[in-house]
Amino acid sequence: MSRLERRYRGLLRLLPAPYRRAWEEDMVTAFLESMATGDPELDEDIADLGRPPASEVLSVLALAARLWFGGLGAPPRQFVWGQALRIAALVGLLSHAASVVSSLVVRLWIDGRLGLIPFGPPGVPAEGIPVPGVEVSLPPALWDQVWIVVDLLVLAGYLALLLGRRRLSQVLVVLAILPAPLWQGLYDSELLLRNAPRFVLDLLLVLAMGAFRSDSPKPRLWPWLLAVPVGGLVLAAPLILVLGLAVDPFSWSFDTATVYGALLTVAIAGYLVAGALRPARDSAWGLALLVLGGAVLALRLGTWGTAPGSGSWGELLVVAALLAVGLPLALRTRRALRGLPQEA
Amino acid sequence: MTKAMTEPAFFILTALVDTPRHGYGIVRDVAELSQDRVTLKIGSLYGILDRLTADELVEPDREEVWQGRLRRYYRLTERGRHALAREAERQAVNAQVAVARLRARPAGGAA
Repeated sequence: MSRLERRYRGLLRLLPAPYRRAWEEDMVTAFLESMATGDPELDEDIADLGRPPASEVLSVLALAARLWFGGLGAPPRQFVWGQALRIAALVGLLSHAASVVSSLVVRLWIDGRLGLIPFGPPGVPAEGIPVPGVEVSLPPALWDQVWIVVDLLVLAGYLALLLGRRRLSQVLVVLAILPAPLWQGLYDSELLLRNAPRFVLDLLLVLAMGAFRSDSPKPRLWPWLLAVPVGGLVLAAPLILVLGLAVDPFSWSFDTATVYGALLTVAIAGYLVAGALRPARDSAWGLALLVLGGAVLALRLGTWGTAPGSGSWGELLVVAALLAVGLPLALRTRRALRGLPQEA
Repeated sequence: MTKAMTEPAFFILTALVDTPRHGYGIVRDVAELSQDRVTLKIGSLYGILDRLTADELVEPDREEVWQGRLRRYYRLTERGRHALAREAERQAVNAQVAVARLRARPAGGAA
């Protein structure tokens, strides 16, 4: 077997095993034929030194994504993987949409327009919450308008995805996530570097949205819509509470990864308890929670030591809590997936 | 409303009209038929062949050994022939409508 063939077969290992059994030999033959030039000497060099061209690699990656993350009619295991990725993408986008609502709630509270909350924000200056150790230069007025548009784009992107307009949603989300790195690149390159893991996760979110296809089951509209204001209040509550009680949030690393890590830990623990009470649960949710747990863990580790107040117990606690609930969930989900047939 | 056939699927079915072909043979014929507009990558070809086989528009014909490797040939089914004919008809009607409209309103004409 030539090196080129070995490399191509290695690439094909990305495809599900039943698919490989049916098509691998045929694909290898067609690929090797497509690489032949007719010049024996050159063909020998290609067989020995050549690699599958990028376009071939991309075509196999696209095929693997389509096969693994299946829609209705796909084999059960691939359908669960597809459903898990769709749930994870939806929750990821929901976190952005809920952040928009949460910012609005905190802003209203700071402006004293939320009479229901008995305490105000002590010591919060008009220009926002001070971040120790970070020099924040206020952007020009134009950027204020940009952030309003970004917030609207996030909400519109979320709605578009719920309504089955996946491509439109991806465009809107890309437009929404671009201004932040652009602004940070222009005004604070150090901040850009610190936030790089977050931007990478945002890009992965856009890619994961590709799992929504014409043959995917539609998400239920109202529960997911209702989750936006509820999620906004859930995200705003800890910040309001901590600031209202005059605790310095940055003394215990109160950042995105901490908040999402804590929420996800509660969600996974709830899922495990509910699963113990009623074992026949949908394993797509378990897998989606694992994917989200991995993303938050990557965010936590990627921003380790860079957040204001880092080095405190908050960062370590999030990692420990996520691992404590994530490991039993991983074992349970693995068992459930193994019980599913790979072929229709 | 039935979903329109994609251009690569259309050309793959067209390539199989006259004779069964193996994977790379289909790639070459599709490039020729489309005047190099559609250049199929192997991953894309087998993604489409998998769907066309599942929809019973294409089926395996025979296997031959070529330079020590197995080549599988594919042929068009009767159902595939009908699907291709329907799609060709649909495209022809669309083209006629566009041509008629273009002739009625030549370039530079008032809207």
